[in-house]
Amino acid sequence: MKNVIKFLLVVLVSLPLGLQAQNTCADQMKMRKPVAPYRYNTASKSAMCQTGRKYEFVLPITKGMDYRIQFFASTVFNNNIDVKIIDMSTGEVVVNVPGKLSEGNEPVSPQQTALQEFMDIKKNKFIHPFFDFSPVSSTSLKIMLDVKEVEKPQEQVQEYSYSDYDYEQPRQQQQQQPAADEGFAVPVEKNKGCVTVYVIDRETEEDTF
Amino acid sequence: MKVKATPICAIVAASALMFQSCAGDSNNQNNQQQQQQTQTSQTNENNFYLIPSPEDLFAFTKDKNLQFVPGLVNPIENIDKYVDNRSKEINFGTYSADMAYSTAFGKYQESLKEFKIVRQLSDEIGIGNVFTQSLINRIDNVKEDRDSLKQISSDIYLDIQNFLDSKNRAKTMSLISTGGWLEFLYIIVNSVDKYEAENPTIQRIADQKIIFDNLMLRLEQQQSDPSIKSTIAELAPLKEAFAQLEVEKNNTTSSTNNSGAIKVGGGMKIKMTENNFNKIKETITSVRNNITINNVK
Repeated sequence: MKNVIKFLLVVLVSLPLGLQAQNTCADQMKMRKPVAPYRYNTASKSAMCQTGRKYEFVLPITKGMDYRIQFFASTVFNNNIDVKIIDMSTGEVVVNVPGKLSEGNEPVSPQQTALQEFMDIKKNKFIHPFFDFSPVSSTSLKIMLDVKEVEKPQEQVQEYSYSDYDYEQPRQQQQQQPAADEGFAVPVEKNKGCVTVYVIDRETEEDTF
Repeated sequence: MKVKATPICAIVAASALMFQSCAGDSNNQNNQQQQQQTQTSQTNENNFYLIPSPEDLFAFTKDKNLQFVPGLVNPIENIDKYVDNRSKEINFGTYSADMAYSTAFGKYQESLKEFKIVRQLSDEIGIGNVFTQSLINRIDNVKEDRDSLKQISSDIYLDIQNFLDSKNRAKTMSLISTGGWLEFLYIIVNSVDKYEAENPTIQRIADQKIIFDNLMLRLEQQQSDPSIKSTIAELAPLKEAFAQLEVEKNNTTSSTNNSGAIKVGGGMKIKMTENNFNKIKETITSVRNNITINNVK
């Protein structure tokens, strides 16, 4: 009986703590400040994601505004998130990039990857990847994220921070799941962290076309 | 040892509840069905339908020929009619949109009045914590210019969004977004005196079909909740009105402009005839008035 009570007590204490840890993504958005003439677009979203899963974000965009979309992800994902963006008016895939290039390769432009930064030698600084859109008619963009499995098991819960953003990221979360085939009980690491679809916009510059 | 094992089991159990994705250790049919259901539910939960805030929706009013019409906003006296949570949450959205409307036109006094109502309702729907003393001080000291007001209005929306996210209150956010978008559409449609095919505001109204579709998809994700279900039912006439708009398809592919931006949206154009416009005007007025006077059937 004592054990049952203890069990229930620990469940009650652990559950809210766990839920709180899950919800830290909401704070990610406030840390970013757009640089004029861009302004923050409130359709931006930061969500808790898990390795091995796919996510979709449907973003309505309006003629008369130019949009810039950037992606940020907890380091637990090791930049291993493929991104596709589809123009819903045509069904055409307009962006299809990996989160990072294979080991040892560096991007040659900020549009070559979704997360791995591009080193701008002229400016001598890293540029976080971004994708600019200019709608000729209002439409929606379907943003598809494929959060890949991590290549190798990570250390249990660790602190981390972005190199170029001076704030603390939420703790990564890991869980172990049994492999699909019960015959080979190889544990698969499931990692959770925040992925942010960060949208900024500005009024369209008519003479850009 | 038993004593130590119990808390560990409990933590594991709590984690299982928290992540909602622990696989069982048996392979029976029930378990498979359960897994399939979980997968469907996960797929659903993994889709995010993004809705712009009223600040973003009203952003285009600045340089256009629209006039501010004070009588279009939800009367402050209506607040006494909101006795249930659903009407409070949805009308929190309508007053937020009114505040964004006043702000977009630089109407300082009007937006302050609406801010007070928004704040009052925020306490009643359990999001009063967003209105911190520092935010209130910012509002008290705000300069009477559109940009300062807009910045505060936008910050409040972001804080509310974050607060509701952190409390897992997606349903509340959906109702607020619904109220905000309905009020926006009501105001814009009723700001246009007569239909003119070439009026850019007419095209803006037609384009709201895209946001409406997103809004409906988001609500449908949460339709197991009775207040969301009744909201979907209330929006049904509007769904019908938007469904009548013709979507013209074009064989255009994307291209990139000189500054590297991808040109999108060329594949379709939503068209609105005078009849469509009148139907939408009539429908949004009826739906919005039902919501603001809390006349839910």
